[in-house]
Amino acid sequence: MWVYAKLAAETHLEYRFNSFVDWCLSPLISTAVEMAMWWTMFQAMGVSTLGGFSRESYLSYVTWAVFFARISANWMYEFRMLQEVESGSINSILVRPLRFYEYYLGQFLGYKLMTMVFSLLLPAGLALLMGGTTDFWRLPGAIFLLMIYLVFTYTLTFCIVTLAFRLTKVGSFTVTKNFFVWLASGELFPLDLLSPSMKMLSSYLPFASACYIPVGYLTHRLEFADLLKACWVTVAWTGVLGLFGLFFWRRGLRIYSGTGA
Amino acid sequence: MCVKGPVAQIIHCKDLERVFVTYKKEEGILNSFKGFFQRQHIEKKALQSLDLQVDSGVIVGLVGANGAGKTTLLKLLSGLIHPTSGLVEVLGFKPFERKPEFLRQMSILLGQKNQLWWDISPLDSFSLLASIYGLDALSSRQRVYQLAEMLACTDQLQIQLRRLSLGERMKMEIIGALLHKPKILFLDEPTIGLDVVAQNTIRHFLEQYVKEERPTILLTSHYMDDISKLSHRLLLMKEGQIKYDGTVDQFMELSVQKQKVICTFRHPITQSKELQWGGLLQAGQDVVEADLPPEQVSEFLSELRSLGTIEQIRVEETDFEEVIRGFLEKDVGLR
Repeated sequence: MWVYAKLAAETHLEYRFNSFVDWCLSPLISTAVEMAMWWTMFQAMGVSTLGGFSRESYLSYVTWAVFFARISANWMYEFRMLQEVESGSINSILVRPLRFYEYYLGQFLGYKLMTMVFSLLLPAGLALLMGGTTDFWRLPGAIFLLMIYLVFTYTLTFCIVTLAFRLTKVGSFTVTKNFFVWLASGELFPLDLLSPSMKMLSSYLPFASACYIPVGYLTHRLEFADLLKACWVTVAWTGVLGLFGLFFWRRGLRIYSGTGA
Repeated sequence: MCVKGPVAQIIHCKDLERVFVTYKKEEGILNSFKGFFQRQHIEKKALQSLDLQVDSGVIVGLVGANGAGKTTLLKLLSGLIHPTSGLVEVLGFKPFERKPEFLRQMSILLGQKNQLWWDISPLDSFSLLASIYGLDALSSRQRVYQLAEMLACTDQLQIQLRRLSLGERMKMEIIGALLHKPKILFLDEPTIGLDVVAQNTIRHFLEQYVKEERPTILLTSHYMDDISKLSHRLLLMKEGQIKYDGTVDQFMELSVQKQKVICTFRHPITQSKELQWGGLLQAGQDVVEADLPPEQVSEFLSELRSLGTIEQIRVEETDFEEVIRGFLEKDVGLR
């Protein structure tokens, strides 16, 4: 898988300006926008706490939430993988002794690791500057959960991609899924604001592992037991989706027409 | 690298069929709405009851009109698609199972598709391919340079693939396809869209490569020079079936039954005349062309001599391309 991670790194380093925007400018802008939004909300509502948390606590959450949400997002690779099936460029993968799942997982993780290294500087710097509730000793645990989530979200993408063998265009699945993930991951707002029943439901879904759980753990909203539970939930969902993906992949290849060749 | 099963027969197909299911839609937006709820599915048999055996080290030229089933056959043999029914075995493997042992011994080059990585240099692509195929880094690098020298493209190895011309890219694709020394090679239109110089370079390279490494090759091309110069065996396909299976020379003998005779008179003919061989010669005409069986040529020329002084006679043998075209236009079976 290392060779595919290397391929992703080589590819991204070819386009310097695009990578600079992706790694530096884009996180800066999205963090600034989110922080301004929450700051304005507190000002407009004239309150000092929301859902039992202070403004500083929310800003600290937002700083890290933007980072985790960016790293856990995979729409770019999902689009590329769908294109492979739609256009038939997957042919060049199918005729070589490599596995499509592994090939793209390696690239996806390679790209995410590179992005993580650069993008981490911003929230870490802000947390040091602003103080707040960040506990840097908890960062490895939060990153570990994020890595598990990356494998999960990639596996979910793989399942969607396998549907393209039969349905050809499935871009709308991606859009719908992304909207759901946006809400269920805690990127839009902390899941503390959900009703107790919805919050309970979200604890059995893997999406909170993208943002809410690692950020909550990092900023002392959640404890190690919550992190551990999220790890198991995410691993279990990954396993289930992996089986679905394998089933649909085999069925997909049976009907694939080798498009475009 | 090992070959499973008997080496002598590399490809074995029996009653092979592939049916593609698609749907048709009448023109217009109303029919698009109608088709949203109810589709009219149709089946197209791309291959029908196809039997084929290919021995090791043979170069097979596949010829046929668009939609004849050539590319479908290559896709089936390379494992890209599953057969609808029938048996297909390549190197003793069922290609559609895509076992790594099989994929390591074959290669397919699709002339209309990029198979190398668009955003990196060919050298980086070849290094990645070497890892994928489990090749030794040093010897694969030597092989890259050896092939690049044969194709005269060493200077382009370090340039990003997307910045190369079509001909240069095709040379890189060929290196990528041959890097792991495949035992069987499927070439689908390897010279398509290339200028004459690039076509000749690639054709010459393939001739040389085949002499040195003796791989089994299945080649499709719309350029008949590719087929006639490289192939030991010719397969003519029509409507998903093999209509001719033999050598190029045998095919020419079977199908060339006529010669083109072009006669030029010194002066135009003064009177119209119906000729014995069937044509009508118009007054004022000074050139006559006819496609005749060889045994009728002298009779035809005698008749023309009686009409005026002949300044020039040209008898042309029908070339391979024309014979193939004739075959494809007519519904004939030569097998």
